Amino acid sequence: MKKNTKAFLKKSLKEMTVVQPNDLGNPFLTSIYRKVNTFFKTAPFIFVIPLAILSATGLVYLFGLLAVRLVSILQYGF
Amino acid sequence: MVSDIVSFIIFIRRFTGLIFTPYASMRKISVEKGWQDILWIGIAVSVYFFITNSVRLGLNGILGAIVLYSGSILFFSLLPSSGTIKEKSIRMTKTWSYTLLPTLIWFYTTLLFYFLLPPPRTASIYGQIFSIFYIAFSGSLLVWKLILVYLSIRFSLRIQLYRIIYYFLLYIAISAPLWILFYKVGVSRIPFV
Repeated sequence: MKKNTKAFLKKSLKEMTVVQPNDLGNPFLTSIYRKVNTFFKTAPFIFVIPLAILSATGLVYLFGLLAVRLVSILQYGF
Repeated sequence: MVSDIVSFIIFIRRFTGLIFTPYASMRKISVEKGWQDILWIGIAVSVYFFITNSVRLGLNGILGAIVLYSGSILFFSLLPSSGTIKEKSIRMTKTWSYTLLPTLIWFYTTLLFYFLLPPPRTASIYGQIFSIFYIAFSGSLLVWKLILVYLSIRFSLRIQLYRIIYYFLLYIAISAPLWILFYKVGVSRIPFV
């Protein structure tokens, strides 16, 4: 059992070090990037779906018929 | 038969993983060996084109999809980054195949809606509600797709953010004329990328 756990931890550690952490050349930019990145790393849909609904509502409200036409074009696009 | 079931289970696990933990799942896909699970994506793509070819005669998009798929993998594998071209192309094939999942979901859903609620849409209240739903759905999948493409490039080529952006823009610049060409010759209306 202990051997399995050790092997699993070793494998996970190896996986985690596959890529170097992103460095944007500026500590401020890097910290912002890391903060934003956390939203995308785990369950991005939690904030993507509400944001998409809000944006879509805004688009239809602002552009009206144009947005509806866009949907028709997309529906013919398969 | 058993290996087929195992590969299907692996495929489903990776699929759900890419929804809930895209970063860790894509990293795992890029380092793990085995490629049988990718076949399920290939089957899903083939079934999709088989259905659409029988629905819409004269429009055969599978050729365009194959060109774009293999061209994308080749393009990114040839770009300078860590690892040999062979290593990069193996990693890229695995991870890039999984970036096709949002594309597949969108195309299958659009196909379904084409029959359930045939276009064109109208400006009525129902038309507007459906438009909101459809734009939100397409937008969410697009964001998911971009996340997966970013992670695919990051873990396959093992490069930093600036270079990923640069490579991606280069990819768009080269692919866009091809998408337009496919549209003009009637291969595909929306590129199956």
